[in-house]
Amino acid sequence: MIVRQFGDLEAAVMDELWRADGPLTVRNVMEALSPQRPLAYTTVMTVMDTLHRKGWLARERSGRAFLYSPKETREQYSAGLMAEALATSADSSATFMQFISDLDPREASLLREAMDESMRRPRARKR
Amino acid sequence: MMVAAGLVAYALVLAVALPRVLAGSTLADRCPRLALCVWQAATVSLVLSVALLAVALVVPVTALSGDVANLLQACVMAIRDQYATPGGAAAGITGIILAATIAARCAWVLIGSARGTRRSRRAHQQALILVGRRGGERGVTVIDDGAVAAYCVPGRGRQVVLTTAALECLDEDQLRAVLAHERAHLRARHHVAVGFAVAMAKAFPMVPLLSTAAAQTAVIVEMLADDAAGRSVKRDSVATALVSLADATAPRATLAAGGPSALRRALRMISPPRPIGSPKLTIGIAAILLMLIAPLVAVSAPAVAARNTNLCPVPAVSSAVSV
Repeated sequence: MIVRQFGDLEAAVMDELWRADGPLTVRNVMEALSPQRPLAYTTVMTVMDTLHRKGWLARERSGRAFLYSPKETREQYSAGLMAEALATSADSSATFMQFISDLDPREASLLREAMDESMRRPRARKR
Repeated sequence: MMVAAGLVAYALVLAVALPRVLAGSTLADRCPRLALCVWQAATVSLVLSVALLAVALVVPVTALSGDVANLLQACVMAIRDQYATPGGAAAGITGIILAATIAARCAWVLIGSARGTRRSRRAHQQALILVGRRGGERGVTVIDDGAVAAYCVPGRGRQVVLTTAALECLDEDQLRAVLAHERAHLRARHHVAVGFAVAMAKAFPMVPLLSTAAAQTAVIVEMLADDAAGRSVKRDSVATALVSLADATAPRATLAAGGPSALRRALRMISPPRPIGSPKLTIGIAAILLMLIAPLVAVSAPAVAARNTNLCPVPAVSSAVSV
């Protein structure tokens, strides 16, 4: 069994599906992607089947082919990702290391004051 | 038993007194790396002392001898003697249970949380690949969202993630500061230190040393990453990046006390660095080594001493002098 890295092709397929006005078949997606990358039908079919199995795509039968569509919009997925990353739990502190976290509302204004103060004051020469 | 009493006292000092002293000091701000090592050494030392305390209850004092066969024979006799008395047996059994529990608990929580975080990280990373856009910079993913966020996801598919909202409030210098900070986290694998501290606090809750160490580790790695960023951009840029993002971030519903304080970090970045001198550094390193070695020394010292006084019962004499 060839295990491929989850990556660009999956992202390109999702791009197409989000960009589209409605559900697409494997052939639709393959034709849309072919200018940038020539792909075999089976490759695209495997990718879309995997995305369906992982819960990203819904599918329904239409004649002999399947019609695929994203289960949620890109914005909804983004919001979900952000909620996960910004959750303040002890466990998540080892999973997502944020640049700024746990912001007290008073801190923001204190921070601004402290910075303005230090910019105004002449500072000792740094080593 | 002197050894047991000594270890209990040592463990209590580590568990209760040390966190109070350390958390109040400026060591973390001035030399974050040393502070981190001290917290980690104290954690290991505490667990080791309690485990060795259990061992001290199980194995009575036997003289250390170079001959392994002699040593084993002496051990067996001494153990048999100990378990002959109900008090000795009770101490021995307590020791076995304690040692086994500690080891099992550590293994369970450390392995469990490592697996759990690896799983959620991978799921998040895969979603980032599908949902985000790779920008010009390598390893940076941009998410189109109104929430201000800048973070990194460590592990195999490591990435630095920024939302469009965050990009909008950062100028070029500040953006480079943020990227440098997050990349420093990834390079130095800070998530391992944080994960270890959090897991130990979870394994043995209500131990002040462990819960304080977890909180302090989170603060320290942020300062380490700030320092690393301050080497490739101006330290001021790191501070102003904090301010810009703080201004734009909606206050979070939960106010977790003791979290990595943006105010403290920014003030630290706009002041010149104040490294501790070599004398204090040497003391710190000595303390770390002492904490790691002390429990082992405490446990083996009586055996070494016994060797010199020849306390081991001789099989031929039934009413031999016993410990």
